[in-house]
Amino acid sequence: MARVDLKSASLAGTPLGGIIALTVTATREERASAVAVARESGLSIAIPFARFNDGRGFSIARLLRSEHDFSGEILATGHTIPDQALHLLRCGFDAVELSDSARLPQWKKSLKSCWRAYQTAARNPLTLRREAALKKNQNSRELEKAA
Amino acid sequence: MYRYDEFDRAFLQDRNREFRAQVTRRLAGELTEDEFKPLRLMNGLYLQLHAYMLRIAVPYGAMTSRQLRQLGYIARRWDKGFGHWTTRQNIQFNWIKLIDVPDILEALAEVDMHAIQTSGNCIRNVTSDPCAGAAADEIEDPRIWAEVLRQWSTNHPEFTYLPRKFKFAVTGALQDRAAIAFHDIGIRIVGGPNATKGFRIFVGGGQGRTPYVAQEMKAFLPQEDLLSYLEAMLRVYNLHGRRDNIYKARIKILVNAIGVGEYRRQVEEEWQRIRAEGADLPAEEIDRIRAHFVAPDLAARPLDAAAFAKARSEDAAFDRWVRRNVVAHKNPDHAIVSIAFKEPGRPPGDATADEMESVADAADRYSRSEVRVTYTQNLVLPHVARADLIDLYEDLKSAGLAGGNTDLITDIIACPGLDYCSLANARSIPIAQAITERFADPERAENIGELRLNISGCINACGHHHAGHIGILGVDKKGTEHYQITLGGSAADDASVGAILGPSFPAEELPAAIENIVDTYLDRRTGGESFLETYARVGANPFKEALYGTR
Repeated sequence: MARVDLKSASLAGTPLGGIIALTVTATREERASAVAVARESGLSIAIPFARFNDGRGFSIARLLRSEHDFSGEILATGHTIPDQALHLLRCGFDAVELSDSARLPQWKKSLKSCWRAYQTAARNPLTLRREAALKKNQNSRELEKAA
Repeated sequence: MYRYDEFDRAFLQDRNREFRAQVTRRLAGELTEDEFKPLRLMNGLYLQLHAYMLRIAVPYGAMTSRQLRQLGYIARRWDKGFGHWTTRQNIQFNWIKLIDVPDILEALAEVDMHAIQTSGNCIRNVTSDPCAGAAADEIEDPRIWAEVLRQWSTNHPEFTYLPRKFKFAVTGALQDRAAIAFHDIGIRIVGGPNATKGFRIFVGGGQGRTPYVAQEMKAFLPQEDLLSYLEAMLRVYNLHGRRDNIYKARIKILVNAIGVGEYRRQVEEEWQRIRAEGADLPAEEIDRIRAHFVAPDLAARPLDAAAFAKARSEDAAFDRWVRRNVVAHKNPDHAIVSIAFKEPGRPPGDATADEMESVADAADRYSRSEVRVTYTQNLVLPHVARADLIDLYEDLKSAGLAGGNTDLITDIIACPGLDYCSLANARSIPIAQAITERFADPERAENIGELRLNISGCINACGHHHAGHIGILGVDKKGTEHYQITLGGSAADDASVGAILGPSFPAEELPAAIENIVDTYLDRRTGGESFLETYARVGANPFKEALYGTR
């Protein structure tokens, strides 16, 4: 099965160390033990999407990153759509398993569909509203000083 | 008013480009209808009985005259020349073609408007007090925080695929004019220790087939903690809200299943964990948004009291309009004026392109170019000098918009019903029109006094029937349209869910039944009692007897 690497927007190989699967109903203890095993043996953690509009996986990924401090690979499996690419990346996913590799070009496009965001998340690759505002203020202050 | 800068405009352009591409992919078959559906819904596009419906966001109900004119242009160019004010302070167009939608969104972007998240299982348009920034009883302008929420919730990476739709309302006044008790999360700005301000947070209110009045979640949340706290609230809901049954998926069901205490415990635990993660806005960014809502500098405009009194005594309709549609402004020379879209013959809340332009002109002339939409499907001019009231009234009269029936029995909230909506069991608009017709005598309506009558064409309760002093619910009874009556609902500070009175009525018997209820109230009321006060005192029995006999 093809995989798309969200950070580089390219096709990726299968994870070297294999995968440990979590469910979207995993309790804190279940998440913690999955993270411990994944750390120990260098496994990726897979979060399944039964349907693309079941949004629990987004929150689970955020918990793995922030509550459990997991820095290894998080993979989205099951039904996702290219239009979710930036949501997945921002919530902490690294890669997506594609059920349909014909959609790879669309995944690439979607990763570049938007450059700005209004809120922080697990990862902040887009320009944040608050930063844009701060920069603008700084610039105008510098201009005032220069004048 | 919040004004977009380059960032907001560029964001919207990216978003519109993305949706244009999604429409193209759908038309080319690259997206299934199943996959396209949530994407179009998140851009305000519904498929109804006869056509697509596009719902456009009017964030917290506030817009400029320029934006209102553009809505008129859209009505004329891409719809049948009219639009419909909604109970979420939005506008919807009911006769839209899919292929035109990207162009309509571009026309909206020209005036810094959009249709983002007016539908779908995501955070919807945040509603607020239509008198914000003008009301005499205001602690702080709620639009500051409604705009903070608009930005935070826009394309949220984690909360775009929630179990179900999610509605926020914010009020900053002593009197709740935003129906916060009927929202998934209701926010009330309150004073705290040492002249600080904070939020009282309510959760789990809503209508639909399982109506609940929201419960208190947190008595005082410091303002700077708002977004981290909401992130915790939404995360617990996103993970634990039911997804197996759409009728049990709203947060009200979760909160009532585990109890507000347990929900609060989980949220507090998550909040303490994430507080330091940086979700909250820096003070500088809050100040930037706050600066957009500085109160307008209203010049002193002394009223010629003698001329005003004379005009009122000479024209009963003007006098009534002043009594019903004009309320106190924080600046005593000014007033907040309602414009009613509820006279006989008009589907409640419908507005033609010409009317939108007339109101835009009036806003330019008399109200600092500001207009508000109310959840009762009317418009408001928030900053009118009392000295201009006579001229404004004349202008509105020429436009056919000078009805003086705000909050009276004819100021009906109604959903589009079976005339448009694929979910409806029964028609709402003809029922509203028949009742408006029956109480068309303005003197009689005013004598009845404040009476909120709300009509929903099905159990989804878009017409807020649960919160009506008199509520009407369309039901399907063996293939014919019937209507169930509830009494005693309220969306105000005394929020409550109306109680079903008895068996339903066919459409042709309904106006007489409503009249019967009103007559029973008039018989029973003492002194200046409102309908709700009389109902609270005498209970449902006198009304049951009047409608169904003593059986």
